[in-house]
Amino acid sequence: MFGDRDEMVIAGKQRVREIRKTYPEAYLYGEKELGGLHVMYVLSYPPETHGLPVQPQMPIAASVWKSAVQPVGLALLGLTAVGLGLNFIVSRTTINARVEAGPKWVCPTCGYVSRTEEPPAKCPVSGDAKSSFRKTEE
Amino acid sequence: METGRVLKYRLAERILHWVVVFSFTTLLLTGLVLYLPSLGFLAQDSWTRVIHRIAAVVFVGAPLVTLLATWSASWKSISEAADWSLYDIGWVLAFPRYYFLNDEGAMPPQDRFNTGQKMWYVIVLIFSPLFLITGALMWFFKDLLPSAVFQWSLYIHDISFIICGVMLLVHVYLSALHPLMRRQGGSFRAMVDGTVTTEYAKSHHGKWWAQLPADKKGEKAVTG
Repeated sequence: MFGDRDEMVIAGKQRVREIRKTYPEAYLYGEKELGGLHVMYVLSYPPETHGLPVQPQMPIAASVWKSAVQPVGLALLGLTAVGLGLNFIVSRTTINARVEAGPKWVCPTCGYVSRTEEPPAKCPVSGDAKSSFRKTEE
Repeated sequence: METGRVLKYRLAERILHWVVVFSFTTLLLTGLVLYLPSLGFLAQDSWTRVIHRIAAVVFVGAPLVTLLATWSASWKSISEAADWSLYDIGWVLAFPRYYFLNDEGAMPPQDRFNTGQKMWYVIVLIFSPLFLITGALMWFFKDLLPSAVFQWSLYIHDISFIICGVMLLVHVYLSALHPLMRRQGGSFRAMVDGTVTTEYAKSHHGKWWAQLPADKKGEKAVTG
C-alpha cells in the first residue's frame, strides 16, 4: 500500500488490530523505529522472530556525518571566503598606498600620467617616446 | 616594458589542467547537490548522478592517460612537487608579508612550482585516490558493502570534498584574483600558452630560472 504516512499508520494499526485475533503478538514495525520509517511492516510475530532489529540504531558514522561534518564543512568554506576577502582588501590597500608613494611620470606633450616604476615605452595618447617623460616625486 | 617569455608549463600539463578544471568543477557541483539538503530537489530523477559518474571517469582517466603518454615528464613534475627544502619554510614565513603587504622582496627564490603550488599539487595527489577509492566502492559495490563501510566511504568522500573545495577557492583566488596577480596581468596566460615573462621567472621562480638551460631562456616567446 502506498500513500501519505499518516494514513498508512492508521491503516497499519487497523490491520494489526484485525489480525491480533489470530496472532496476539502482531506488531506494526516502523511506526516508531528510528523516529519513524518510510516503510512499515505489519508483523505477525515480534520483530526479532522476523530477523528485524528490535531497537535499531543509526550507525555511528552516519550520526557523526549528520551532526559534525556538514556544518564544519560549511563553516570552513565560509571562513575561507571571509579570509580571502580580508586579504583582498588589505592587499589592495597596500598596493594603492605604494603606487601613490611611488614615482609619477608625466608626458610633457599631453599631460598623460603613468604611476609605474618605469615610464611606458611610448605615451599611449600622444605617442611620445619613453625618454620624453618627466618624473615627479610626491 | 617589453620582455621575452619563457615556457613554464608543458602542453600536456596545460591540457591536463583544463580537463581537470572542467571535470572537477562538474563533480563539485553535482556533489554539492547531495551535500546540501536544500539543493536535494535538483537530484531528482538522478540525472546529477549520471553526470557525476561521467565526470568521474574523465577526472580519473585524464591523469592516467597523461601519465602513460608522457611518463618521464610526468614523473619529473611529480618529483618537483615532492621536492621540499628550507626554501619552503622561507616561503611559509614570507607568506603574510608577500600576500598581505605585497612585499615581493620577502620571498626566497622558488623552484618551477613555488611552495604554495607544491602544497596544492600534493593535496591533489593525496585526495584524488581517496575520491577514487571511496567513490568506486559506493558506485560498484553498493549492494555488497556492509552499511558501515558504505557510510565511512561517504564520510571520507565528503571530507575530501570539503578540503579540496576550500583549497580550490584558495587556488583560484591566489592565481587569478589576488591584487598582486591582477597587477601583473594574472597567471592565466601561463596555463593557456604555457609561458611567463622572463622578468616574472627571474623574480618569482629564481631557483628554477638559475638552472634553466640557456637555450630555453630565449628572449622570444617559446612554444611547445
